[in-house]
Parts: sequence; C-alpha cells; structure tokens
Amino acid sequence: MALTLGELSARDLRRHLARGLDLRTGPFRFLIRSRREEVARGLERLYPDFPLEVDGFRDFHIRIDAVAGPRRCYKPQCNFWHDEHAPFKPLPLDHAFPLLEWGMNWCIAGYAQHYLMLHAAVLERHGRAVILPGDPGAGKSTLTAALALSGWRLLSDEITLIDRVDGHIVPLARPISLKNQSIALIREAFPQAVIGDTALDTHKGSVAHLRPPPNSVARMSEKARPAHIVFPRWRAETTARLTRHSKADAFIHAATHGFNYSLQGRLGFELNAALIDACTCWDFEYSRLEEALAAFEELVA
Amino acid sequence: MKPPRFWRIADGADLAWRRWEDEYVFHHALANDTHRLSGPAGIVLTQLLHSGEMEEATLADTCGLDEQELEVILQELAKIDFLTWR
Amino acid sequence: MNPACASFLLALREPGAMAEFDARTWDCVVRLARACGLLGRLGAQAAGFHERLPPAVWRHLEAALTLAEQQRRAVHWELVQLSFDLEGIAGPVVLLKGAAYAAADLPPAAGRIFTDIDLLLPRAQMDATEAALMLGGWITSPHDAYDLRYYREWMHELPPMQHIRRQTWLDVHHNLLPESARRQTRPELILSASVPLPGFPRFRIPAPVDLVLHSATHLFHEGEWQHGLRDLADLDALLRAYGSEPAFWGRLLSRAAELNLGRPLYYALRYARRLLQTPIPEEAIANCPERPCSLSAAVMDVLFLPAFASAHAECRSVLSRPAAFALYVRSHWLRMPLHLLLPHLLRKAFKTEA
Repeated sequence: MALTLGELSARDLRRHLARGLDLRTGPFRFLIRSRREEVARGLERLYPDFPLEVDGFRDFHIRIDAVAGPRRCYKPQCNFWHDEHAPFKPLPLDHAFPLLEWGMNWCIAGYAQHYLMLHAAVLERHGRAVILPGDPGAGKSTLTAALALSGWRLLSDEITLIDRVDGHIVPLARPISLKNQSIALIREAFPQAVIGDTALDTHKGSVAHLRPPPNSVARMSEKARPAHIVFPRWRAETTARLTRHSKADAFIHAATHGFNYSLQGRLGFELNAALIDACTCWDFEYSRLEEALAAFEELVA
Repeated sequence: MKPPRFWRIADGADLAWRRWEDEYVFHHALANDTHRLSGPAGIVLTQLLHSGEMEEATLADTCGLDEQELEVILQELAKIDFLTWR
Repeated sequence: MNPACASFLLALREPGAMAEFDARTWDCVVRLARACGLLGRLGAQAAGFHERLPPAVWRHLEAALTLAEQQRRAVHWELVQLSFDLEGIAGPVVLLKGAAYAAADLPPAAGRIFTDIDLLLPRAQMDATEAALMLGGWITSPHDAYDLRYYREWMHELPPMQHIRRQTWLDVHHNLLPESARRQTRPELILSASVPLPGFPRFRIPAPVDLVLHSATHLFHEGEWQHGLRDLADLDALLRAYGSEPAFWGRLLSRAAELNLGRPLYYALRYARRLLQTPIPEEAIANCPERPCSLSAAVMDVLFLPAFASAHAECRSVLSRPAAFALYVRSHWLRMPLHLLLPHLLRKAFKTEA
C-alpha cells in the first residue's frame, strides 16, 4: 500500500517538498518542489488522501519558490516553474498555493493532448457523470463543492478529461477552487468542509480551495460514464429548474470552451459527438443550494 | 436569365456531421472547422454529400426549399468553404 | 556527456533502444526531448513499438504527436488559403523548413513541431507579395520604426506577418541570409532549382541539396540554440533519406561551393556525424569546400558541442550557457557588420530589461 501524503509528519512533508514530493492525482504524477510554507500548509490540508509515489517516471516536474532578485526585500514574490520554464508572471508570496493549483492545471491543459479536455467540472453519482461547463460567474464551483460535500464523487473541478479510446471520464479528484462569496457560502452551508487559506486579491479575486472528499480520492483511478451536461446559472429568487438545452449548441459550447478540441482534428469531432450522443443536455437555473442538490439527485435517480 | 449553377462539396473538405433534433453540426476536416447549422443548411449539405454535384434549381426542388432561401444558404456555406460551384 | 543526454541521443539515432529504457531514464529523456522540441520526433520513431514503452511515457509522446499531426493538417489548409492570396504573384513561391517538410511529407516532418510558415520569393516580388498578403488578411505585427528599419534594410525577410483570423504566422524571405551578413549566398539559384510541390500548384520546395544546405545554414547562423538539436535532427533525417543515393554527396558539395555555403555545411556534417552518427561518407567531409583549419574547428567544437546541450539542465554542462551565448553573439556577428551589430545588441538588451 502506497504511503499517502497525510501519513507524513509535518517535518517529513516539508523535507520531501524541499527535494521533490512525488504526488499522484488521477493518471498524473507530479514531482512538486517548494520551500514555501504556504505550499506545505496547503498540501497538508487539502491533499492528505493522495498517494505518494517513489522514483520512476513523473509526468511533470514543477516548482514553486520565491523569486530571487532585488524585489525580494520589499515586495517578495513567488513563481511557478515547469521544468525550467516559468510560464506565468510572478505573484505575491501569499498566492503560492493557488499558483501551485493553476500551475498544475496549466501542465495538464498544455500537455495532456492524449485526452480530449473540456473546461468543465464533473461529478458522478450512481455510476452517472454530470458535466458542468464553466462559464465564469455561473456558480459552477459553488455547485461542484456543494455536490461533492453531499455524497457525489468529485471527478474534477476545472478540467474534464475524456479518454480518447472509450469516451469515458478520467478523474483527477483535485481540490475545488472557490472564489469570493462562495467561500463563505460553502463554509456556512457545510461546516464540516475543509477549506485552505484564502489568498486575497488574486486575478480571480479571493481564492480558497476545498479538500476533495476522501472517497473521491480513493476512487480516482475509476473512470465514469458521461450521462448529463448541465449549464448552471445562479439567479436570485428563482426556483430550481431544469430545461432542455439544444444538443447542437452544447456541442459547440464544449468545443469552443474546450482546451484542445481543435487540436484533436476529426477525432475531436467524433469524441465530442459521442459525448453529446451519450448525454442529455440541460440548462439549470437555481438560487438555493438545497433545491439544486435535490434537482441533481433526481437527475441521476 | 442567369446561367445554371452547379454546386458541390468543396474539394478536400471531407465533411463529417451529426444531427440532433432539427439542427446539424458539421466538421470540415481540411480546415478543421466546426459549424452548427440550421435544419435547411444541413439538408442541403447531406443532399450534396449523397448525390454529388447538383444544379441549383434541382437542389431547391429536392430539398424542398424556395430558390431565394436556398441562395442565402449556398452563399453562407460557400463563405465557410463547405461548398463550391461552377 | 551525462547519462541522460547520452540516452537521449541514443534514442534519436537508434529508436529501438527506447524499448529498453527504464522509467528513471525516461524521466530525464522526456524532459530533454520536450525542451529541444523533439518529443514528437521520438513519438514518431516509437510509434511502431509503443506497446513496449511504459504507458505513462507513451502518453506524452502520443500527445506531442497529436500536436504535430494537427500542425501538419493546419499547414495543408493554410497553403490552400495562401494559394488564393498569392495567385497574382509572378514567379516561384518556395516553402522552406517546417512547412516544406510537412507539405511534401519529407522525413523530418514526422512528429515535428514548428511555429511559422516560411516562404522564399524573388526579391523583386517582395512589395507585391506583401500587398497581396495584406489583402488576404495577413498583418504585420506592430513594430517600432527601428524594428521595421532593421527588417527592411538589413534582414532577408519582411517583418513577420500573422493572419488576422487564423492566427498563423508567416515569414516571407527573399534570401537565406541577411542582406548585411558577412557571407552572401545566391537565393536566385535556389529559386530556379526548386521543384514542384505535388498537390499545391502555387508552391515549390527547394531541391534536396538545397534543403540540406538551408537547414545547415539556418542551424549555424541563427542564434536559437534552444532548437539546435532539433535542427540537427532535421539534417540527420534529410541526409539519411537522400544520402543513400551515391551521386547525392558530390552534388551536395558542388552546390555548397556554388551557393557559398561550404562552411556551414562542413559544421553541419561534422556535428550530425558526431552527435547523431549520421552516415556521411568520409570523402564528403574531407572534400567539403571551405573546410576550416583544425584550430578553428577545435574552437567551434568547444562552442558547439556544449551549446547543443544547452536546452535543459539535465544535459547542461558548466560550459553550455556561455557557449550558447557566444554562439548567439556569433550568429549576430555573421548577420551584420560590427557598426550595426553593437547598437543592435545594446538595443535588444535594453528592450528586454524594459
């Protein structure tokens, strides 16, 4: 049985991180190096159930550290490196953990062209996966967090990976990124939720991550069959309501909001078409989380 | 009277398509372009895929479209490099 | 040379060896190959026996192949569009490098990734070509007046153009080497010897010997050492494909003399053989026009060999970075006289700081 991150002592975790923490999330292995306390604390809180690996082939070698240079003294910054390449601009030090999450997303979105990748959250219940495409401000992350905290299996929060061979969904089970008001909203509705430090004033506003349910992490090698695509929209003072969404439009939405639809050429068209064939497509309006949860429950009953 | 025009699928387009309810999604392999198309546009394309080159008036009859309506569709499809004519 | 670097070079010249690599070797080789832009090439070479690679490794090679495959499709479509844009231009339009390999399906195309389409046209057609391209939706990215003058007066190309809708980058050259370069070649000979490109009547590609000479010139006159090994792998693929025909080598040498490209060819052959064990007849190297004296060859060894390894820390020796920098300066030195070069480098230095 592989060691999990949570089984490391606080000191061992930091020691591992300094020379490379070999973490697996779904099909990927990340070798994470960092001397930042923010990163250690985030991993400790949000990734305790993830298995650690030893030696061999790692998909991505990444590093989060403080940036050297004159700014170090008056406005310290950190950056993310994939191998030797730093794709982002440096950020304030206290954004180190969200930067790690964005960096990991960047690696997957940029290099995992052996999957069709949609920009969407995806969860599973009773063997049926529900895909939530992510229009900003649609309340996708809030809904994803609420479902994950109510017994749904979290497959992924940002990137839906579709296996090119069988069209099934490959889980990542990584933490859910909560933004602005949804942080307090989830804390209030689910007092048991484990949420990491809040990073203020990022380019997405305030950001905090929610620990994925241990059961989702334990089952992260188990693929799921797509069954529904739901376009959520939060609206004040409305009753939760599912209405049919045009399949042709869902196709185009998935294609244009995907990470690599056009890169896959004809195969991308066929995979996306098979996905739309397999799914019922819905628009979903809601304002209260409990109603939303009930509506989703009905969807997979 | 204008001379008859013959329409066909653009060379190398290698179209693939799906129909859901009365809408179509087409993929142009050479351009690697995907388009969502209305029912009538989808019918015109599937007809030309099936029959090969067709004269405009015959195409209108076969697809059950009036000629003005067809003209608009053909121009749109030519603009996205799906169709060509002689 | 360190073991990771040695394994990587081994994979390039004897693909079958990849089946025997252990996971730890792959952990370095995949990163090296990616840094050098050669991951797709390893993928193309391993495609026939990929079930013998660790699945996690093959996924990365497959992903790089997917990208290369898409670029190849995109080039085909781009050429269809460009054919319309360039319909009215008189004389040959010759594709160079990546686009030529992809469109003609030449050996270096397998798994190769490139960022722009390079065209070579007669100098007299440059203005008409630029105008025709602009009508077709190609725009020159914003440059300041200095940059524009740099391109128009001293360089061998128009400023890079990008298609407004399709986002493709296009480089239009009228020469292989900058106007200001110390070494001058004869692009009109490359244009007139070019051969038709099947399937694309508007375009031509350089004759085989000219493809090799251009690749060699590019490698040893450009400052992009990140891609040094990629360019060398292109040369290797071309030489392996054409070199089996005995008459090829004689033609290559006399063409190098004719085009005044003997020196870059010499270095290309020397390092292709040294690093990739490209099968090159001894006489070809011995009879290369403009063979440098043994002292300059030794100096270049000290510079080139570490510079090839500069793409990734796994391979880099203490010498790599200074060597790559020295070659960067050298490539500029070859491009323009000192009174132009120094202000140019200074300006570049200030621009990156700003």
